[in-house]
Amino acid sequence: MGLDNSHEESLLLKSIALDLEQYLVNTLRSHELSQKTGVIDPRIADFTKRSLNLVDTYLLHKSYVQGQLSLAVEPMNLGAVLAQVDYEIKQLAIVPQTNVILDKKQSLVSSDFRIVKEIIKNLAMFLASFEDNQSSDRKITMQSYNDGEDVKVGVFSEVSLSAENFSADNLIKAKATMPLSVQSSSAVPEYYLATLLSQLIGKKLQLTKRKNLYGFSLSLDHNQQLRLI
Amino acid sequence: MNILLIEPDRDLGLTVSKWLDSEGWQTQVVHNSQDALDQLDKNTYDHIILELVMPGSNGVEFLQEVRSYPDWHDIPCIVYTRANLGDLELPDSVMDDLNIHKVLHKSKDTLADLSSEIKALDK
Repeated sequence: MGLDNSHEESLLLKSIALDLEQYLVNTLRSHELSQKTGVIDPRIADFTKRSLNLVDTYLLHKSYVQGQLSLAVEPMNLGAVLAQVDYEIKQLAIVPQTNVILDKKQSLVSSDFRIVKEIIKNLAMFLASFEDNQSSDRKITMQSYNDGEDVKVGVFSEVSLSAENFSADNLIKAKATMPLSVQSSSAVPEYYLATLLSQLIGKKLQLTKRKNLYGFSLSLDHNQQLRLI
Repeated sequence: MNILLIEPDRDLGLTVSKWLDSEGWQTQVVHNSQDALDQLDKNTYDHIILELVMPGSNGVEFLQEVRSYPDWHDIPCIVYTRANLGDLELPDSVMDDLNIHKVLHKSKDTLADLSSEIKALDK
């Protein structure tokens, strides 16, 4: 799955447009309500931030694909990535209760910090939005852990997911071509963009069940240099 | 006056219900068609405000089901939607059969327009 295919690109753009339309409608109507009540609705800023995040993530991916940005593989601590994601999510509209759990070994991996951060952030927003449609009690767990020889970082919620429902290809097609039958603000583009960013670093998102939680995980490479030290 | 608002987007649902409450109406907001049917079963509503873009089903199917019950057949319905009716391919006769009083578009029509339509229905 990539965006070499212009049809897929157009589906992605349409799904982004649908979400941006929803954010803009929310902004406009909240503004109208604020004018009537005399109280500025703080969600206006949130809708704007989420719109910008969506556009920024799309442009970030394009910048890498078009060679304006290069991968910067460097040693990094997954705890630092998750802390940064936790902070950034709290600045956005969907503010689930985020729960960051780190493996005690605080694994060091080699990857591109910015891309890994954006993958985790966009997955968290997707799951929060998906969970929002199932339950009013939103709680997202972000976790790094060792799984055998692999170091993994994942984003989870308590809402059950199935591989059938979480084909990124199918979701994006459904959102773009059958908007009447899917959630109106399901953050599908965020999920699709997370899968595209994963491909940039040569990884694939895995649908993962971990204890009582469901979500997505990403295997990352140990930092061999620091491991030897 | 009791209004049932069916709006899948939780943020927009909150905004519209606050607006309607500020007009002095009692608003119950639900986010999908099943919850809407449950509410209609439990309570009596004077108006339905409906988004046609619904998760799982679409608003037209929902309204067809509502109109199939005699008790709910005449509850006035205003569609407040993001959909282009051209996308829905709804002929005027279907709109009449579904007893849709007015179609308003979220991107163009204001909440004040929505209030005006509700008030017009009550005259």
